[in-house]
Amino acid sequence: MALVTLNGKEIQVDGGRLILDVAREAGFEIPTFCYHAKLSTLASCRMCLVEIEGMRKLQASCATPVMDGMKIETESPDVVSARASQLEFLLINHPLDCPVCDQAGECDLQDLTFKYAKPGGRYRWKKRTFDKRDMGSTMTKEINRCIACRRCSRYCEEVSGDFAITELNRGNALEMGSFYHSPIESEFIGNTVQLCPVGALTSSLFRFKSRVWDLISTETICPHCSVGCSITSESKYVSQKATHMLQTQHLGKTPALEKTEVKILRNIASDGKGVTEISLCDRGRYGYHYINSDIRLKAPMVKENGRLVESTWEKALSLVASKLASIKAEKGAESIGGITSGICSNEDNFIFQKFFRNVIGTNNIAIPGDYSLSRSSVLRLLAMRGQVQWVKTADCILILGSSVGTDTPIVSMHAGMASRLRGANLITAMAGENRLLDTTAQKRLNYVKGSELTVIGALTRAVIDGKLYCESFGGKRKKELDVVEAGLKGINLKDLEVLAGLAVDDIESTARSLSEASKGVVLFGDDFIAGEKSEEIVEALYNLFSLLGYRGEKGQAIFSPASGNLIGSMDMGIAPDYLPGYVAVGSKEAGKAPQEKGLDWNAMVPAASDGKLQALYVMGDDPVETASDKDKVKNALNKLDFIVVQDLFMTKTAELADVVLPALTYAEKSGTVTNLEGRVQLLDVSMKPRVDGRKDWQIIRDVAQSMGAALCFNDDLRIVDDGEVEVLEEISKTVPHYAAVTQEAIGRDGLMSDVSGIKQAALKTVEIVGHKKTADKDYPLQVVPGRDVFLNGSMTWRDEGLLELSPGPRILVESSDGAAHGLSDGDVITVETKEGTLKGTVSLTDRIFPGVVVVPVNHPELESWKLFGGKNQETLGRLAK
Amino acid sequence: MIKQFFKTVFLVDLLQGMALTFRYNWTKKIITLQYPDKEKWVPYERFRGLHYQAVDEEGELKCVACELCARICPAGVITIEGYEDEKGNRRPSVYTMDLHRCAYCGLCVEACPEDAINHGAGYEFAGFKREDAVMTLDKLLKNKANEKDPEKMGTVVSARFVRDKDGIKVIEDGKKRYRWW
Repeated sequence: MALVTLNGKEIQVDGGRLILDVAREAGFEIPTFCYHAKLSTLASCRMCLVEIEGMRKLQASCATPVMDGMKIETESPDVVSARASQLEFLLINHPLDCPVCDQAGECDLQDLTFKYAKPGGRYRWKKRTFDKRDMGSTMTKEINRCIACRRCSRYCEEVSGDFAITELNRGNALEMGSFYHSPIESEFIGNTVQLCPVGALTSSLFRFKSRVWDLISTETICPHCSVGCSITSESKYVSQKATHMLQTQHLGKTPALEKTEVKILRNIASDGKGVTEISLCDRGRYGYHYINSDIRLKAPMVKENGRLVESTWEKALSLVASKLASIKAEKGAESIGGITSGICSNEDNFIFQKFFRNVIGTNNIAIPGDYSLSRSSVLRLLAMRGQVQWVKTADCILILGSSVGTDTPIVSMHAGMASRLRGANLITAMAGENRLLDTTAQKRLNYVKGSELTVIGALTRAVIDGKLYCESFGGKRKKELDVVEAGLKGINLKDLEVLAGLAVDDIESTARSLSEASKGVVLFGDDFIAGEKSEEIVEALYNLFSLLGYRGEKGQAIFSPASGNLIGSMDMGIAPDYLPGYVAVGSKEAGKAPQEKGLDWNAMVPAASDGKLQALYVMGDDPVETASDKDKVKNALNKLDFIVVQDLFMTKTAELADVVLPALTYAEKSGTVTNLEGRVQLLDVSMKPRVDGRKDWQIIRDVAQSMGAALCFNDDLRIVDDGEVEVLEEISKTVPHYAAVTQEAIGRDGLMSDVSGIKQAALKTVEIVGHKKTADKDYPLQVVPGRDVFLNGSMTWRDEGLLELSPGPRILVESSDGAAHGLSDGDVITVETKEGTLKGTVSLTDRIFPGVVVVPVNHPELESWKLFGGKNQETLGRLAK
Repeated sequence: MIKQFFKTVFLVDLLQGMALTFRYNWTKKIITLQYPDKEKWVPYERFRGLHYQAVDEEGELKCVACELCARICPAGVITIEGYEDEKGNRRPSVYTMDLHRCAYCGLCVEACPEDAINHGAGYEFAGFKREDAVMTLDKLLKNKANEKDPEKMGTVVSARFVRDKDGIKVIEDGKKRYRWW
């Protein structure tokens, strides 16, 4: 503790803290430019100078720790005049173009000049000037305005780790920019725009569109991945065409004339809220254009004579209700299935399952995807809800699968940061592209696609052989150890090279690092558990984590799926075999719900082909576009008698539908979503609906009402427009681990759902047969499905901003392989596998391993799914020009 | 009492008043403005009339869509949307003033850093439709015709009244011009 005197006020503070932090906490304002709490100290802007008794010169408070007995003055005449002089220096070269600068209104230089500077400057000569240069597709650089605070370059060094922006030249010629002025390729570059205290780095997508004081800010949650970053959506009323309109925002009124519409103009990170710290990935930051898009569904559509035509809500709803009722009466409730998506909110999903269980009377509900998990596996995933905070502080991080990097960039960014800044041991094991961590990973393992289970088996084997498990497994839990070991007979570490393409040393040292870590974390995403063996993989992962003790204090496992609210929809019981709160179907607690297990997505497709399934209700998903075997799904859906789709766009699935109902985006509705940690967070309404749509749960409530059933609010028929509060009340009553969740309790940072009450079953044996690496002389390369950071679903495919950001459908070939085939960037090549061929543009990279070709699967126009034969397994291929 | 009665009956007050009127009619200068039939008043230089958008020597808009006018306007009259033109300059794609609400306080003109929005001398924009008083960018550019000419301010100019299919207009012919006072 230290006793310091701040402007004559004595305060007790912890020794070693910065004067700046202490003074700000005590309520004294100290202006800064270069200082940022989450970045390293630079102390170059000299705005934060303070006077300390006994020190001859003024000291930078952002770099000086407090000491006992210090007497600090923050407003002495010397300090005030130093600030004014410093601002005069900064304004020597800073152009006075505030009227055209997008930063004006939120510019630190503008604010501080207004507050501290003396009027007029003494500089009378020419200002230093640079050319304006575009930096990539999202950023415009006006380097004349730069005050060299180096927040951007420090961010790129310390946080994102991609060195996208750096200092070029020195002194008067200092310019922030990319090496050789090359276009920037980074997932996090948008953050530098937000960090820039002046208008030197501005967003091209926001450029000149609005002044910041016109924007209406709403704090909400990013829908683009399961991390659930807190964002501030900023919207504005803009005129539809260049016609008249009233600008009345600052009068607090809605526009009086009709021809206006509200648009989201930018998203910014809500720093320090929820899981967010400075950073958003560019997918979240720029992925709002689809909301403003004109191709959104505008009104309900009904199929007449084979064509979808616009209709009214009454007509469409009554058609859905009567059709579902008649199919239920004729063919039984089991002939109706429902699929939803991991994007919809908890309220949407809760009402959806309630509709199916209480009104239709079936458990046929599922989320389509690359994997479908039964109740026991999903319960295992509950134990793998680590916290993002852990990644930041962990000393050993293992990343399994490349989708962690592409689907949840923020999590892998934190992993890279932990490795770079704190020396954490970062190990990556990937089949395909190693997107973010190639420069920072201490060890990179390359397994063969399809051998995920073998990788886990090998790690478990190494843990058991090296006695690296928790102490208790040597003693009283020996039996459980034996249970796990029983399944590993097929795994011999000596054969591993042949099996999954992994070196024994690597596996052993990885197992040792994980075991020796005082704070370890294992991250895995969608692509690691995808495929037919997903249940076994999850169970094997659970066994491994149990052995290592990665269930709390020592380490954590984090499952990071791509879908924004996948965890929440699992909690809401979107599954054929469990109810909200993971209550097993058919158990005593299940109550009135149907007693028989329903069909999951993998069973629905053949059931649709066989005619067992007659109707499908689709909420916010597009299985025809996202399935790994599109033709099969499309043919199956074509055989259905009746399809209802509620979505934002005319998706491929919606084109097959009999009734299409327009839904609303995350920005137009309130509700709750649950992130990968189990943190329940609030969505807020950023703008009034742009189309005649309804919230997903409202549509289902209306369908239920048309069917004569009271659905919501404890079966008490009430029509409330903004009824999320009532739905949430019911959720918290029904789902035990959401018992504490209310809108007030969620608050600013979200509320962790408490899953500790849900008991895990004992460890089970998972029979692991080693994956045998196949070899074929004619097909020497491993073809691996890859993903694009910016495009990961039907919203992003229709987002102009993200389409611009995306590098496009590129086939990634390792540099040395490319050289062997005589390829250079931009060549058009053909990838051939036994299942099919694909033509595309090649991009050479060092981010993948030799012998691997990564084919993007989330560019629908590329139809790359044909290469893999609809399966998630090892695929061999070759390149041809 | 009786005097009052006779004054009332024989309209003495009225005749006295009429006498004054006739005397003024013959002895004083006529100051009635023959508007709109023969004359039109050109207001003084500080008159805050119909707004217009100024252009520079090359005929390009001066406005940079900084929205300072919209910000300072106490009545929320002005709506602006910016865009980046081919030369990379910030320009308004929409600049609309709803003059129904305008109090002609002149703050927008004060705030403009580019001298783009100005008060002209115009005051004749009564219309039959609401839209007539909603000034879009095109109209504001046309309004430049009302730009103030320092030499002519505060004068009465000869004009003629025209009624055609476009509406009614008072067109200056400039044949005669004199100071009002």
